[in-house]
Amino acid sequence: MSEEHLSRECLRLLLDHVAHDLRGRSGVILGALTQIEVGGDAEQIRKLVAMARRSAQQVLLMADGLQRAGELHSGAAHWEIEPRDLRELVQHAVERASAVETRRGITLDVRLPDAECVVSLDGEWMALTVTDLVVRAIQAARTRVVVELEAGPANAVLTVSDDGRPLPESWPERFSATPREQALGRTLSLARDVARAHGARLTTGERRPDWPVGGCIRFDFSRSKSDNG
Amino acid sequence: MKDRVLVIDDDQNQCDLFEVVLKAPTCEVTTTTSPSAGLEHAKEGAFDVVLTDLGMTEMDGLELCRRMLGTSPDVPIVVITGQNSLDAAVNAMRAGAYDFLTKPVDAKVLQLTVARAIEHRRLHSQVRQLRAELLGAPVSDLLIGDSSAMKNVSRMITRIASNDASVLIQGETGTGKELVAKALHQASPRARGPFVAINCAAVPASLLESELFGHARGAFTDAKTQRDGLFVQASGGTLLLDEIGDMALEMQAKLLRALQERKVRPVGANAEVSFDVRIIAATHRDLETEIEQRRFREDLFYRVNVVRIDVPPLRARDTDILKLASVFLGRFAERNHKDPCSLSPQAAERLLSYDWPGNVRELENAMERAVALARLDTITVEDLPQKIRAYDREHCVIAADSQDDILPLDAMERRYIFRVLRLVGGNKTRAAELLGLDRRTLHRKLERYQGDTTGGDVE
Repeated sequence: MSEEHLSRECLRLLLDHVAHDLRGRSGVILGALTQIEVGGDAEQIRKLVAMARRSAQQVLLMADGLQRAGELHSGAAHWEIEPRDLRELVQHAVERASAVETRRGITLDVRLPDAECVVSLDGEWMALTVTDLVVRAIQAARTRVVVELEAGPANAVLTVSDDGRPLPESWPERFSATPREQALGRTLSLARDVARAHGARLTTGERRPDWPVGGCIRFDFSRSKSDNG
Repeated sequence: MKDRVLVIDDDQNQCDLFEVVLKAPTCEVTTTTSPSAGLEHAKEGAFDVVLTDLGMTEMDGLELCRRMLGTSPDVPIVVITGQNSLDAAVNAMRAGAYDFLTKPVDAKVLQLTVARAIEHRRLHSQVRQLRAELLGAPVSDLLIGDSSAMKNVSRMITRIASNDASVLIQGETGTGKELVAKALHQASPRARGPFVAINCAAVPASLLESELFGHARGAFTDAKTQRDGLFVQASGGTLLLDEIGDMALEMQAKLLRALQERKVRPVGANAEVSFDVRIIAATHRDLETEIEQRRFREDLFYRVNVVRIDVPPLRARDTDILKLASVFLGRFAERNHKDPCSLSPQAAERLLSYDWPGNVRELENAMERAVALARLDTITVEDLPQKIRAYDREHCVIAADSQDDILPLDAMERRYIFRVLRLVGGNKTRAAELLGLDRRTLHRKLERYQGDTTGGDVE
């Protein structure tokens, strides 16, 4: 299969996937609204409103991601690098991810350092990327997700682990809708490009030692002297 | 009983919405966002219909369809997807889906599709049951063999499956009474409930009451917590009281009371607990003789013996012996990571000649041993137990040297008739001709001898 053909096929798969997700989420919103019109007890209406709200937030997150993917793909991405407290950013991203993606029976454990952890980065891009990664981990997990930030004098490492399927060791350049042999999934592809733009390193790692299965995605940010104050 | 729907979609919101739309007083909805968990759910519980998304990251819906149909072929699967393409629909139907819906799904269309799928399953199951009743075909994969004796068992199971009458299964040790009980449970409307079995002969009399009825906390030294008995644990399903003929008389009285009242009193408790189970009792003993000997209560006998199923001994199932042997060989070869084994003609002949006093269990053990010993993928006479290898010589009654080898005339006749039947491949008309009997006389003799437990073969 030629490179051009592969790229076209990946684009088709990506658009298929996006269409699938958009139909699914708008379907939930429409379905919830229809049920609200039909009526029900207060508890049921509250649940339906929450479903519709979560699905609308998923659509918004998808739209944000697609726009950023387009900017990165065309080389039009604009970066505003400034010192930011990574703890606050991770906390914000986890809150957004939890509002968007809820799964019954999945526990989300966030471990942040006590002291602030300043790193030079683009806050908006990074917040979106971390949100995407946490959402991906919640979707992939069987029972648990751990988001952990470790701050050292020279670097800060953010690890998002889940006990779902292991992640591939090597990543192809091309991206597609979902990870497959010849292409990287949309979330990981975006995260990799964002990491590169920040001079950070994005790697996949093994499961946590106390888990029977799983994998992790690790962001390794180097910290300049100014970041350390 | 409620209809049960399983929803598998990796979007939790979608699962929650389907649950709201489908939940009704007559419908129970289980949801999961994990396809592999969905497969496990489907294996554990009997669902009437499964709804699944097509595009899931862990496992796509087509793969899920194929795997689910492998383990639960009767459950209709409705594929629901956001991929609005003809290809997706065709692929889903090819993978065995019952129907295909595109998101967003109208609530009424979804309810209608699910109702239709449940009705389809119900009709399918009825047709299968009626066909089984008509043909005397096995009602369950558990019952192997198409001998007339097993067809009778299958017919009886089909006839009594839909009601709640107590059943007594009688048969020699090793004939597969528990499998018959399981097949009856599976064919009954209680199939979704638990099947609980207890061997009354294996539990010490002092513990049997607590096992069956449960106990309150502190009822005896080791009763640190309250525990439900098997009558309560089997609620909504079937309770098999195996080897009921070995139960102590004192316990029989308590059991009789429980069956009459449909309530049990846990040991040490003040209040009684109702139960909703179908009772199946099984025994290798002749309970009528046990009643005469005052070892079994007559009133309990009539309580459990509303319908009786006699499981035939293996020697009355001649045409099933090789089929069963082949199933066991396949099972043990797989378990031992060996290539499938087959029987040499001589070994097959030995199996057919043997009398099988230990019935199917003995055949199973012999095949397990043969697979373990076989050096090639063919089981030879040398791989069979000594008892089976030597059987013909030991029972050569025509050339008997001692009075001990002489058989009663009845037993001789039985062996001879079965031998002739085997020679003519089960053709009763031909067998009657060769034996110089009319067909009806042969039938009468066969009916009489199929319940007989003595005898062997004639050389």
